[in-house]
Amino acid sequence: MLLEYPADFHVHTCLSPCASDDMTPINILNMAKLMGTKVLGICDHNSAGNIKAVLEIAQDFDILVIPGIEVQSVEEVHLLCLFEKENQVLEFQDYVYSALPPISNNPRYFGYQWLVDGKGNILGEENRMLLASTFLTVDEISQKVHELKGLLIPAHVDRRHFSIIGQLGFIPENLKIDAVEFSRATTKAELKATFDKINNHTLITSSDAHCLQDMVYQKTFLLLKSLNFKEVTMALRCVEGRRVLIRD
Amino acid sequence: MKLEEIQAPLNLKLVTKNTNTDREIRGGYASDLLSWVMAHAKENDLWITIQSHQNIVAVASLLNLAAIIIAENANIDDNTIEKAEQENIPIYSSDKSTYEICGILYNLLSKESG
Repeated sequence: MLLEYPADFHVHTCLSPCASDDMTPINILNMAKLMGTKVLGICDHNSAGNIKAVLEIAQDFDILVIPGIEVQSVEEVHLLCLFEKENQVLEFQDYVYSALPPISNNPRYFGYQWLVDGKGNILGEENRMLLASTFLTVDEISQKVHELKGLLIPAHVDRRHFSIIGQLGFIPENLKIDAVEFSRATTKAELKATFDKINNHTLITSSDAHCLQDMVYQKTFLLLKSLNFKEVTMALRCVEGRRVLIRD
Repeated sequence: MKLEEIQAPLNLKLVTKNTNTDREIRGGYASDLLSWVMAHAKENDLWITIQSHQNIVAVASLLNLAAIIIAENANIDDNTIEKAEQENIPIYSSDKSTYEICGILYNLLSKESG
């Protein structure tokens, strides 16, 4: 039997300089629990520095955390890169770090990049400037993500800035992607009316939460047989009855 | 002004093979946001950008732009060059910045129109 699982694939932690300091693992998990979110993607900008802490604390919750990174490509496109396991996202992080410009973050302009434990105790600060473009093209990122058996989802495609459509005009036909995310500023109907051929892709919408109250935007639901990464992948691919429902 | 006539003053290097450089330029357009270019560039414009993803070829082809100049020697994917050759869109590379290229091109085209 297939059951409906509320999903939010795109939540930032306090590691992202633009995110609120109270986006600690325990706060995020508790907020997800309040909202009934069962599939929770954690994607900080160009880093998976808080993933270990989130996965640890998630063991106390009946929530599937999908570890990920929101990468910024050389074309200034934001891409959600999601993986099943911690070691996969960390390998991907090495790839991303090797392609970041050697610039340090300045918290005065961009905000703090806190590395924390599950309870939100500060362990340190990430010094790399995470709000930067990597040297990686969207094609290189797609190839690496799929090599590591991950999922690639262009983020907030309806926005003018940092979206694949904004930067590249349209979604390249030969680019391998697993779904397309639209922001909470629009609806599925509006998106389909605005962008030709968008319906060729599985559509999801996420909170892109940078603070706890952003997490109330719960509009994506997955029809799954059970709660695991493989089932989520099947839903994005519309396999054997698994699928994505949008209620907006 | 012909595309071929601007190659020397702008110190451009043609990176595509067998693309039509014998065409007239109406004006220029500079932006790296492809969605913006699609909405605002005009037919026979010379487009200056540092964006080198292969989608630039589709945009140039769609709008019938005269050619694309990739500024500041930004890296150009082989895929992009291959696609440009298929679509007959000349791509030039320049060591000058977008600002410099626009300045020189503006003067050249203004002089011509008197």
